[in-house]
Amino acid sequence: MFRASRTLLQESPLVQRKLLQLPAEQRLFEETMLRGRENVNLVRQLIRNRVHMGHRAFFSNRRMYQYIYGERNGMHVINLDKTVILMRRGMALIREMVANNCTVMWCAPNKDEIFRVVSPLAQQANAYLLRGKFVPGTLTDPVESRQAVRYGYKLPGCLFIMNTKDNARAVHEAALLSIPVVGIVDTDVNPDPVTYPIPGNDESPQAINLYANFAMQAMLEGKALRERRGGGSAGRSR
Amino acid sequence: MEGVGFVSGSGALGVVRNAGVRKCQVPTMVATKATGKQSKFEAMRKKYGVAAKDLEEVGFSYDEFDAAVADYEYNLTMGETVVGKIFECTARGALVDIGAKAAGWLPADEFATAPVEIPSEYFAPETAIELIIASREDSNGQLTLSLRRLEFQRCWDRVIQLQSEDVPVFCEVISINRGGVLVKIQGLRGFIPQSHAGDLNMENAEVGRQISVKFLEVDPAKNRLVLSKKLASASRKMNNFAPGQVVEGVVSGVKPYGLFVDVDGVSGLLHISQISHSHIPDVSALVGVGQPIKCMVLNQDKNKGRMSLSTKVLENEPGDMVKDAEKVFAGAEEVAQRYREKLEAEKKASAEVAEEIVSALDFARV
Repeated sequence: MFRASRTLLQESPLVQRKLLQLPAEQRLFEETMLRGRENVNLVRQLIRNRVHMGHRAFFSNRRMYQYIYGERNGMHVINLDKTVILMRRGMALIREMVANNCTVMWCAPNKDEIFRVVSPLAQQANAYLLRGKFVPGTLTDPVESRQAVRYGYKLPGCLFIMNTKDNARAVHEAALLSIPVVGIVDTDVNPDPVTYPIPGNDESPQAINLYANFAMQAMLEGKALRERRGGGSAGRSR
Repeated sequence: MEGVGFVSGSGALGVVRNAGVRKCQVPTMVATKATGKQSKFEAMRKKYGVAAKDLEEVGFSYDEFDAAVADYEYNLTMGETVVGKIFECTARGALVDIGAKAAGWLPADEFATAPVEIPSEYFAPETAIELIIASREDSNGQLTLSLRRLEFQRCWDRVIQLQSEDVPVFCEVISINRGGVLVKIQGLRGFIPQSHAGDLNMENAEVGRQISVKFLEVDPAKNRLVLSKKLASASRKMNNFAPGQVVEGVVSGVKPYGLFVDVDGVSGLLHISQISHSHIPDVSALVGVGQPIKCMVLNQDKNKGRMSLSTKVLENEPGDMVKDAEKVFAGAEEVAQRYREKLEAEKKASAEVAEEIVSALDFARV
């Protein structure tokens, strides 16, 4: 069973270099520490969008117990304390990716109604949104699978997956290639192979809308950061 | 980074928790520190020289989290009526936010009682509608909803109430067939049997006409809705025919067993045995549809809107109807009068007999 270790080596060389300017643990710890009242509204927003609702207790994956707060009416409730921190962490990664001129690939649920919500946000963020099935070999064998066009002929810097359970294949391939994955994991998903798991609801369209909005915001921030740091003259402008 | 357990320093929320699954049906959430020793997070804070956070600064504790979670708690069962907000509407159906983990699915077939032409535009996003839960949770936790079932329930309730009020209501003719008329009433389909159709013209030109009807049979379990136009018009005109009354009507139908006569909107049966004392081999030879005829009322069933008629009693001599119908009609009134008197006499006689018997009994008891 492939198990991704969440060390710095997991992240791509560019990000690694940047982060090593600071003592790494301190940098991320500082980044992810909650800053008081600022996060209260975030937690309330998450609750409002039903991010805390997990699946039925029977279906929960044992490895998600660390993120589960408890059980209510037979449904598991996700601990938003951890969600907030991990969300910040994941979004920080996406931001850094874009700031360092890397592309981000999104995977969203294929259901028409939810996809329609995510699609304009991905477009606004200049992300590559994968529509439909993740063809095995998309990342590991772009030539044979002929899927490289879907993500612009350049291996993405990181993956943002909103329905990790259905895209286990994508998670696996990214891990094989050392591409970090920011994934929303619901209570019935195994979070181990995901680099930056974000425990949260993956069923409700409001929740998915929220995640996509956060990711889009992170990417736009990253773009601004890139321009501030001196423009992406080298490489593509995407 | 050791793992997520480390990074999730829940220092900001001000409390430290044990890992593992807890059952929080009892809504008291208490911070539990690891007994005696420092928690991991305290140690980390010390290492990096970060001040510990307390509750006032953060303003959000696990208690509040618990309370907030309880606000969004839901317990939805099949058959329950819920209010939901439309999130997104496509040609296949709509996603409705009913406060559950996954948005409820409202298939396009269940939007309304009648099929909808453009499903994707039927609902505007963010409209609040009332729905019924049509199925149990599927493997993803999604519920299927239905508007149509709810509307049908309401239509039937309305119809039952109208029936109890016993008022004539309007309905629209959909189609006419041999057995009767199909109508649309209060969103449901009903049927008027031909016997109760009254003076409805059996032509296709009638489709779309609004007619006033009353309820005969309302059974939601069997999905039966039978109406009667005759009852509505009869009650409207308030025709009361007493037995023994001579009425004049028009022949509306000829059958092997008799004639149907339409008297002022009320239809009555003139049975072949009641036409004349002599045997009549062929009714249609005697009278045709549309001919005026005078007959006497034998009795009237208001509930069913039916009437029994007779011309036999109007005959002066047996066999008159066949020979000379006009003469019978001319003298109808006198004959009817005599018949009525005879009826009265009979009634009185039987009443006297009854009284004698009763008084005899009393005497016997005493």
